[in-house]
Amino acid sequence: VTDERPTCTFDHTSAEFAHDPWSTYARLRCECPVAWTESHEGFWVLSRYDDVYEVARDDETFSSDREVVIPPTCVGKLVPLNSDPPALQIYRRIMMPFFSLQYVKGTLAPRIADLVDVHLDRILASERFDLVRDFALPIPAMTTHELLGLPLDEWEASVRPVEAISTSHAGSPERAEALELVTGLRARLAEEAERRRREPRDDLLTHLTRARFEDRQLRSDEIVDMATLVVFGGMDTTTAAVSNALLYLHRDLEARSRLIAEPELLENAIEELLRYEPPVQGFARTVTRDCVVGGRAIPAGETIFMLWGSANRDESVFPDPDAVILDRFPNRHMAFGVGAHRCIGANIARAEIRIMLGEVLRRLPHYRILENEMEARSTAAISFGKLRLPAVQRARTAA
Amino acid sequence: LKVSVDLDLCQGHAVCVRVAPLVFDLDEETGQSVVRIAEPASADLADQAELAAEGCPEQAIVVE
Repeated sequence: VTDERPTCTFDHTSAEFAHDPWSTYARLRCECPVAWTESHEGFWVLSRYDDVYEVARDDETFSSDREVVIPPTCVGKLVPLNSDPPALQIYRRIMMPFFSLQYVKGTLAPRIADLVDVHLDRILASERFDLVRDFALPIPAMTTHELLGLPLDEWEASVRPVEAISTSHAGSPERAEALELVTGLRARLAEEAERRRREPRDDLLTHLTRARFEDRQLRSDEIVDMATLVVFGGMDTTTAAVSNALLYLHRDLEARSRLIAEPELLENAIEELLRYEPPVQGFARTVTRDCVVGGRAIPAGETIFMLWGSANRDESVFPDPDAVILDRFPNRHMAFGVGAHRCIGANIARAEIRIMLGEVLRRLPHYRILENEMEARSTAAISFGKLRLPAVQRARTAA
Repeated sequence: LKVSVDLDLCQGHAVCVRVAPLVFDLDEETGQSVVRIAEPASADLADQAELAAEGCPEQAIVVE
């Protein structure tokens, strides 16, 4: 064990990082797997699979009570993302009936399929379209509204604050505006929850108003913290995952043809694409007691950043990690995190991605993205994906 | 062959349900894996169970 603090220059909020985090990860894993950076008031960066795994699995030593995003977003508490055990498990158990595989398969998936149909109909009727704005963005947002029980046609009001937060930099005027939008979102969720108390329906919001935390009812602030998490977790992330997958399959036509010919590969392929480019590159924990990670002493009170994106490319776990191998198995990637905080919406996300990609490959198999018109994010601090993917139905042939 | 799931580790990734749908199911309330066939007799199911153990992200499946 060493008290040394090997310092690296690491800033995951930069444009260079958003463009190519992978070379930074490879260098960190090889040269400095437990590194200290002075960026954003200083934090430890974990890039190897085993170290990330160990920290993510130990919620007693590594708390989620403070924000798990660096630098803090100040969007307020998100439950149970910012809950430690034992409350974490109690909240998750409350939410589970609306996130279980059975619920997703039986109730949500048919509605997702309808949404995908409608959006693809519209896309097929137009010459040019945007695979993010017209497809990957609205469908997860509307699915999240469906789940919570919010009006489907008001999805933009929810997605706007989420995207405004994830595309802005901490301390910027844009972030200040984004935070005002989040205040509005929280107020709207509070209002809707109150309405559900009077007029219950068959939705997640109603379920939360009736749920019990041990021997008491959930408080209104807890309900809003949970509903806000569902909005933040359900929209930007799945959108990013689908945008990354569509761009990858635009560039790798061999992989696309294979998936079209062998649709039974799709489920494995989705896991592989999530491993390759996870929409959330990392989350932070606060150290609650002096500890040792990867042979380095880390004192209580400091912050650790777990790089899911780097763990997913760790050559000691994934052979040929920088290649997309559609039928890779086993594939113990961490795109949804690992341990007790693992993404509660993973079943929903998988269903959305499966239906969205499957239908694009079936109905729009020759899509071409106009790469010179696409818009990338200028920061990957919160999510890693594309903002705009203008596209056409097929490559133009010479007239 | 005996299959079991360590519920302290299982977080409901559902890889096992995908790989071995006859051997595993998910508990609707907890989201965790449930073993449906604890002692798979056919070689096919046994192979699936081994694959599920290999693929489990939490290494929660024990096949002994």
